[in-house]
Amino acid sequence: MNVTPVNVLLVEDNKSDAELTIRELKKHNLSNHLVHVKDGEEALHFIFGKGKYEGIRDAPFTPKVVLLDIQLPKVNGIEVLQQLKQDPRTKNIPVVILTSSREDPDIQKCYDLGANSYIVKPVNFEGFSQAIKNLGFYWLLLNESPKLGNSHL
Amino acid sequence: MESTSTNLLIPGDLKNDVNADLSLRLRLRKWAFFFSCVVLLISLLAIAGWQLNLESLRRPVQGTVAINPLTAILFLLFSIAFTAMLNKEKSRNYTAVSVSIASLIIVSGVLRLVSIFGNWNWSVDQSFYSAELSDAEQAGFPAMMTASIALCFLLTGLSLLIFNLKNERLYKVSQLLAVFILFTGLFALTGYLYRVPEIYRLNPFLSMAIHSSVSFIFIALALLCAHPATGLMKEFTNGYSGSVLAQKLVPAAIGLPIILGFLRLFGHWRQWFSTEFGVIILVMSIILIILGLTWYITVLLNKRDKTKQLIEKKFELLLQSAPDAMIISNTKGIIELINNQTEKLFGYTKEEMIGMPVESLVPKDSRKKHVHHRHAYHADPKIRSMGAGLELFAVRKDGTQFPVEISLSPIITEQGQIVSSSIRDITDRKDLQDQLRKSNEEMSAFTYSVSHDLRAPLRSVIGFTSILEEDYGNKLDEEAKRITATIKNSAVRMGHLIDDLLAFSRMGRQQLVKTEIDTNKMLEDCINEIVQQQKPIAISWKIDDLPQVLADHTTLKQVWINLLSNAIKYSSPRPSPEVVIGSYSEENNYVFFIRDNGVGFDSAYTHKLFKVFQRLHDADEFEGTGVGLALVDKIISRHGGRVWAESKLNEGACFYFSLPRN
Repeated sequence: MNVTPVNVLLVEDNKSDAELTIRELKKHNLSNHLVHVKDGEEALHFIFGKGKYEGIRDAPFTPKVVLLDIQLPKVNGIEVLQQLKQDPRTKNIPVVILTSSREDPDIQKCYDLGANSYIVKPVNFEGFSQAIKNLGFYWLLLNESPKLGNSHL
Repeated sequence: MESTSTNLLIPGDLKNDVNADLSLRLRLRKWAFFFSCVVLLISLLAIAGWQLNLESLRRPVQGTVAINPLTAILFLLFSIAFTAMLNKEKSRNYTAVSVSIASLIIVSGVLRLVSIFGNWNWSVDQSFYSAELSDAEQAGFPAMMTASIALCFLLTGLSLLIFNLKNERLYKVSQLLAVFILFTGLFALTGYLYRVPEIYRLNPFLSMAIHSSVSFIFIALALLCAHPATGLMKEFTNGYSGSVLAQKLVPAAIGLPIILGFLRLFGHWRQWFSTEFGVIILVMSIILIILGLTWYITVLLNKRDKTKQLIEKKFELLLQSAPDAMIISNTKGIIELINNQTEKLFGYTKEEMIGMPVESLVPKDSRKKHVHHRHAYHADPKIRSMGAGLELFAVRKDGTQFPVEISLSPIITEQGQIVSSSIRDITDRKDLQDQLRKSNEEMSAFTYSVSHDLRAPLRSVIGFTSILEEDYGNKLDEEAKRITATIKNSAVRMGHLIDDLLAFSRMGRQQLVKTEIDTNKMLEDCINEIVQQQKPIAISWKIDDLPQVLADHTTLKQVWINLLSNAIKYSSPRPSPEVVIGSYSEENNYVFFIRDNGVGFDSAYTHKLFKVFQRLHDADEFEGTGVGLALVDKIISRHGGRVWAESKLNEGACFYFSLPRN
């Protein structure tokens, strides 16, 4: 069994957005131990050790932070959020909703479901870069993570 | 009763009927007072006659009976008591005076009657001027109060007493007594005209001095006119056609027979014709008069009925021509009248509907509630719409339900209260509303996608261009760097456009939630936000004390932010940029203005200023999407206000917007 810690689970279907995000995190040395999945189903499989992650390591995997987009194929971000927050083993994982939409109903729903933070991805690059940097520093360095079961890969 | 201090003009008792001819009633009361003054005058002359021994005053017509001193005194007392009674609201003392005098009059009358029929030796009418009376008696011209006069005084006193009571329903009795007195006086006066010996020659029961009979007539008239809104007089003075007719007929009814009787007697005295001839002429003329009157009244009543029919016909036509279904129903909820539209709407025929309870048109599960509401409506009927805020449904003959809008109005008829209801089928409107709602929902979904899906590629363009600059910057020459900058700027601009367009479209669909806004505080917040987002620029702010307004918080804030951003944007190139914000009041609005000393705009294009995507400046000099002011316009319009602007190139611009006051 590997014991590599997973710091960030990035759930993002858009390749470019993912690339930009990872690049920015890397720029600030925050991208160690980052796992990127492309849809909600894979995210859940990853966390709960199902599908292709079955048997690979002890489940549930509990990263330091989950960066979650809302618009995802197969299982969308809201459902992922719901499942994560409902399961007592995973409900303490900080989830940051990282999305394009500023539409109010979404924001409210996410908070109602227990999201820890809601960030709108700025269109311009400086803003985006700044947001990722702040995000990364806050959740990975500044914030005290809750003691979680298994944060090692 | 009105308080006497505020309304001396119209005593409460004159206003009983809706239609009442108030001026007539007021006039009658004045006449009542006038009549009693005439009585006063006559009494004073009569007393003077006895005091000063003036035969002409005691006995104006030669060979007839003279007026008794007590009679004269009682007439005098009557006028005092009557005047007091007329003013009884002013003070309780007046009532006391009136009542005591009335009692005095009654007592005198009773005493005299008793002495006539009881054969007493002493009689009250001999108490005053006894010496002169016995002289007159010896001269062969006695003056005494006869039974009829005593009786009239008794009735007069009673009538006065009753008028002093508060219970107006008893006034009818007074008026009936007055009628009796009137007839007695009239009898005597006509007796003089007709030379009836029993009247003018001394007869202890019937005779009356001529001025006594006149006085009694005036007393009776005064009593009748004292309270014209009550008892018998009510119907004569209430302004309806009957009373108008009566006012013409009553004098004729009294005058004509007397005149005819006189003519018959006159002819008899002059021996122009025999007694029998005289009688037949009299009878024929009376028949003629009565027939004439009958004809007149018939015509009048027929006309009234015809008018009533015309009115009913007009009402029918009105009902039929109404574009909505109209149903007239009574307090029991039974349908009495409908129009053609109702037949069409519900599918019943007129015959089926009339007599049907109105509840059969209501869906089964709402019937009980409807009965309840119906009773509540009849208890407090008003012209209003039914079930405000509720969805109402009606049911057709075939059982299908449809949504309706109903308005009610009460009508008072001679059969009691009925309700007219106007019913409109709003299926079409509801369909449209549903369509609108659906279309709005589709729009929402659309803009949601737009907001999401359009932005992602933009982020890519900007992001990767930036990566290009960062990672390959040393391989790019100046020109290449200019190109990448252009690419990024275009994409950024597109992002702003998307944001603004979304805000603009959202504005059209949103509900405004109006609250009291502290304008100065809002301005403070806006300025802070703007300053945080941009680099701070030295701007001198001059902000007046601004009034609070009733508006939607979020969107009004957007208005201020847009206007402030513009002011800052266009004035920052100036050496000393200055922004002034103030307000003034109009009749129904507050007007706010924001003036800057920036580059201004060409006022020839003011009409383009608030249109979407219209810009009056170079995008290189001043960035912007051309949507900001259009958004301001839209928001303010939705609040019921308007926007406008003034400017001179290079001298700054002033933007105004108005918001309605409450």
